[in-house]
Amino acid sequence: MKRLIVILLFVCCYLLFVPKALADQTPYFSDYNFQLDQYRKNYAEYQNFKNDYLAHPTLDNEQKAILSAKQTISARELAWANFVLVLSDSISVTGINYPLSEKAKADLAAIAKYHFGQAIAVGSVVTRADLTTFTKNELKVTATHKLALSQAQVANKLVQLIKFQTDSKAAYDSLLPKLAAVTDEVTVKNGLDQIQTSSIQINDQISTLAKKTGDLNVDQFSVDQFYSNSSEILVQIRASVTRLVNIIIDLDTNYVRH
Amino acid sequence: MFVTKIKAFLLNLYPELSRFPIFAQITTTVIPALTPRVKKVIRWGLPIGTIFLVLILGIRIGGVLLGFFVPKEIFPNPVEVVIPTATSTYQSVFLPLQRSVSDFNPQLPDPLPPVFDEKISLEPITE
Repeated sequence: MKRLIVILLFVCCYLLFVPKALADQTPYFSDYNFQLDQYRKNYAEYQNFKNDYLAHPTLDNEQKAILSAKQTISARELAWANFVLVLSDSISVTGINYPLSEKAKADLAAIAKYHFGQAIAVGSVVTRADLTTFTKNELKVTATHKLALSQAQVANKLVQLIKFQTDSKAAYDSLLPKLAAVTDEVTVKNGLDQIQTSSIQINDQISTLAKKTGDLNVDQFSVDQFYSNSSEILVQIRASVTRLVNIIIDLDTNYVRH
Repeated sequence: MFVTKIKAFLLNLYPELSRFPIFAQITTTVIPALTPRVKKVIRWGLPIGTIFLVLILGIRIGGVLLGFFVPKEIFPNPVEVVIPTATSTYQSVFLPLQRSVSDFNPQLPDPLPPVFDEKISLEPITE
């Protein structure tokens, strides 16, 4: 009897905690993929119904096309919302609090909320004119989201680099006492100096890119140009971080007594 | 006299030799009588023994000649002993950080935004 109770307890624990743990891994990403699939299916149907309607503009064909358009828009809005949450989650998971990332998380939360709201609001579309009005409003609002989304993309990269910086700092702090006996050696001294110099340089590069991103103007904003320029700076920062980490590993491997 | 005895002896062993004139002269010469058994043994033993004798002599002569041609001694160069470089087996605890940095993708946008039809409508949309 006791054994049976123990087994039942184990089964209950498994059923309670395991699905939650699996769901916690990628909740938004799987939702995003699901909604993206839904959108693709619905969009193919919508195009057929729209073509039918344009070829034969009957009331029946119009209603079929409107209904299909509503389903497609609903899936699109939910996919957008989940995509935005995936990006937001990617920023949050680092645990870094940085002005640009905090702003990005707030912006993304607002954008996700808007898209979730639109997925419901599309249900109120009844006529062809309603659909046109809905789409026009959507275009106006989403145009304002582009800047925030681009900033969030850069913020996502910057928090990862800041995480590398904090990890490198922790590594440096743990390494320094172990190098006390060999601090006078020229190589070690140079290595420690280079770490100091590189970390200041990386911090400056991160701050510059963050400022540049934060100061972006909607009127003079070109997404492609912005991504291209930012990617170049990110490549430079990564190279600096790589050098820094390599020096730390070199000191740890060759000069610390293990 | 000795040669004659030898010839007679051979003739006795190999009567076929009487066809040669040199042996025909001594056909009638009396030679020590041999019993048929001894005669048979000697008849076959003599060529076989001769062959062995020639072989042994050849081998001995070859051995003596070989002594005159002693090959030059060749000493191979000493094989270089490769001393492996002393490498540390220690793996830094900061290697995961290095891997994370190398895995960092600097390209934007990442994640890639989805491409949607933002102008779903039954009427033409003008921005």
